[in-house]
Amino acid sequence: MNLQIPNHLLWALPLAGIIVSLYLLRMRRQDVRVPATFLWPEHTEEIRANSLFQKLRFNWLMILQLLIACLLCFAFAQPQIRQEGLLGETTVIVIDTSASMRATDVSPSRFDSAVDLVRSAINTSKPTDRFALIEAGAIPRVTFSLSNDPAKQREALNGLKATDEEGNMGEALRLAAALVSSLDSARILVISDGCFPKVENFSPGKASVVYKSIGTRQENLAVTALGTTKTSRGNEVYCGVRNFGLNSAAPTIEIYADNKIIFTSKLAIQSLKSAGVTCLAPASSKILRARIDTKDLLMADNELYASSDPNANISTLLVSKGNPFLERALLLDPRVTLDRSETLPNSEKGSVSKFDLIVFDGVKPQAVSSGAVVSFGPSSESSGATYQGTIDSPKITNIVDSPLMKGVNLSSTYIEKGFLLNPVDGAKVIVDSNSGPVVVVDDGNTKKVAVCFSSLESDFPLQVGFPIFIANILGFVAREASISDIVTKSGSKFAFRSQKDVSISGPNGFSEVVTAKDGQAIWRTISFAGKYTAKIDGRSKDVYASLRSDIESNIGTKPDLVLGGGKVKAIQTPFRLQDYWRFFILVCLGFLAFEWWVYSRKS
Amino acid sequence: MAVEISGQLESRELRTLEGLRLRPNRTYRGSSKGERISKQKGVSIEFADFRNYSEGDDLRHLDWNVLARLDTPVMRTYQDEEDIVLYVCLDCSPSMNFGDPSKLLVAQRYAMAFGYVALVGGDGVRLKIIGAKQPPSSVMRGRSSAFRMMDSIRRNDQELNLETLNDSLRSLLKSNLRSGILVLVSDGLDPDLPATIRALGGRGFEVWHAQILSDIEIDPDLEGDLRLIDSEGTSATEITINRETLLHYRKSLESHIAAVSEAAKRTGGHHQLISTTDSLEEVMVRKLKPGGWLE
Repeated sequence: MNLQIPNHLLWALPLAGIIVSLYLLRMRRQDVRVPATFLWPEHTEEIRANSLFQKLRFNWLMILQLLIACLLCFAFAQPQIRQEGLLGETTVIVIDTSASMRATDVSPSRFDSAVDLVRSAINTSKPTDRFALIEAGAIPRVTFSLSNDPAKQREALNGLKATDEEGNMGEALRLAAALVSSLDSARILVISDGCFPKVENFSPGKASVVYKSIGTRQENLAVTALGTTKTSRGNEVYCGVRNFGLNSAAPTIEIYADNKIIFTSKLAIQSLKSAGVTCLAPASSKILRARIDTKDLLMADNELYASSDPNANISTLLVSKGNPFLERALLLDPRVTLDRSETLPNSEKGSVSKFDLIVFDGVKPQAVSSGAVVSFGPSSESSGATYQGTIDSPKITNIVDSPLMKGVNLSSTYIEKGFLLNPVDGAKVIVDSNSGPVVVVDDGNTKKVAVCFSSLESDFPLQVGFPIFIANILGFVAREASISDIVTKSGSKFAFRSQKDVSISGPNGFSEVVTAKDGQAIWRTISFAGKYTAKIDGRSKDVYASLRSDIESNIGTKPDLVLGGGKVKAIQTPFRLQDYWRFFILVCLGFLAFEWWVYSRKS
Repeated sequence: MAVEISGQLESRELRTLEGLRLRPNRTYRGSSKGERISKQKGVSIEFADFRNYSEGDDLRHLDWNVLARLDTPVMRTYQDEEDIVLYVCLDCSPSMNFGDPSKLLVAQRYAMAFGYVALVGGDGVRLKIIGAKQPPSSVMRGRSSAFRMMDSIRRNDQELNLETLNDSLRSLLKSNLRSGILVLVSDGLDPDLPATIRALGGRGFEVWHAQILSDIEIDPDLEGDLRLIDSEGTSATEITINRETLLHYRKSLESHIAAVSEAAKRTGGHHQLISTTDSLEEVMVRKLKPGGWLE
């Protein structure tokens, strides 16, 4: 048992003092003259006249009142006892629906096991309990808000599904904190395997975070890389496989080009190591598929799609503190597979980059080896211009006719603050202002675009020209793809240019109609890996989605979570702290009723 | 309900009392000729026994029939008749000043009634005022003393706190009074009273205790946190009166009354609990006469 406000126990001292003092004070009694006093009970005692205080005598009533005072103070200290149970009085359950939760080390799967836990918690919840459920998928969603309606909650729970997406636990936890961080004794219950990146910028406030880990094993193999390179031998395909398990494995790798097998081999892979194979693909091949034939715990990452045309997919990294306008504009191009980071990952500081495009938004670009670099705000040589200081409210004076500025009118854009750009050799200024260059382009081997202002320090994102400008940049860095099919990551968002609704069919009987609006049909998310076919204005377009995430493939259950700088340890037997102050108040009332009954009975 | 009574006996009550006589359980040696049979052999018409003639005996009491038949002189003896003295002890202690009508007023009337019955029956009456710290009055005899006796009683209508009930009765033990009937008209609220009555019995007194209690003593109407002040003491006691304490009081009262009654009966006397609201005639005729007090 613990006390929420132990200081309230100190009130017992003055209260007890007051009660004892009252018993020390002599009671004012009515004088009654009687013929004889010897007939009355013998426990009456002689009193001293003219005394304010009397000797403290043992009195059951005083003991009872002291007991009540102590119980009241104890109740005000808000005692809590530990009880087995997932839920507290106010709980936000954050259930991980990311791809790793589809691992089958827990029967039938980690996700189903997590759902069973939540269902059991709902069934055993108390009428006073309130809880909400947040689905921590690629886009966190409140499945049901704080309430106690078991029927509706069970119904909502039945609609939950684990996906092949990379989850966004950080956003889900921030959402949970927004719901309960101001409530005393609230709890954020994370039901997950812990397979997500360290969560920054998170504070649970007054709520406590409880982590219920799911999962026992980590045997998993994943196809982590698939790509083509034109070599002297021809169109060479590289396929990488990583063993995330603790035992060595020797899966069979099969590589398909346009659904025709072109390579198969057994590959021995050490525990926690990667291995790869190479083969030649036909020159005319468009879509490559690699799969490993193994019975591991997570199937979604056993298959990976890739396009033989490098322009069919733009693997993009957005380095930003957060810019939803830019993210949305980038994702409008179906070729874009977007990763986000607040700082440049260490893996990108070397000579090899896995991204086609890195966009620095408000972050000074560092030397990278990606195919293209775009910077908004501070720039460096990496993005085609250095900067020498800041400029205030630059007025656009000249816009060069360039494919990059097609359909974009920057002259009416208000820019609050920018950086004074100094183009590197070979770079061209395509937008100029009275204070200095605004947009600088370098069309070298590495495509570079430097914009002197951060989009959030202007009204540019609110203008229709903004998504066009981003589309132009993507066209500049990736040119037009030779194939119309799209290869992307599961969890991506797509926008199809279509005047009519788009019907999409996919694996496992998936079917969805995406409503078109303003010439666009936005498919919010591709939840599962596989091949999808979209009917767009009478034409068919294939979309190949794969789970390509080391974080999700590394399915080993994490014993601790690092949330907002603190560690939260996994618990095996969840406990809840049950408030007992109401019980003590009831006991006090019971004592008072007992006292009244005894008194009235004696009277 | 309060009953209006006067401080003296009504003529109707006096007529009723005139038809009653004291009925002692024992015979007592009187100081003068009276209408009560004495232990002394005397010259009344009440035959007592036979005895052999001895020289000098009064020949008028010789049984001539026995002499003629048996040729033996046998003397007839007769019971002597003397008066007895009734000690009327009227409790005027402060504890008597309770009730409505007050116990003192009621006690005065009963004292007058007992005294009147005694005087009319030819017995002597000595009045002892409890609380006054003074010896019993001189013997009053004859119907002519009735009004003097009543007047003496009536004059003691104030509470007297010079002597407690127990001390007053104990003072009788030390005196050289002739034994007789001691009528104690009192509330008897003294814890030592049973012992004192037994002592009086040992001294030869036949104690008749008319215990006068008011309704508020039999069934007190008290409640709450009170400070009880003893009417005859200086001390006060604090008490919380509730159902339990009232029950205790009633049990104590019953037990005290039983002890007093037992002590009185052991002296050969009587005990009667009388409420202040009881009618005097009713008590005398319906309770005391059937109870063997009077005839």
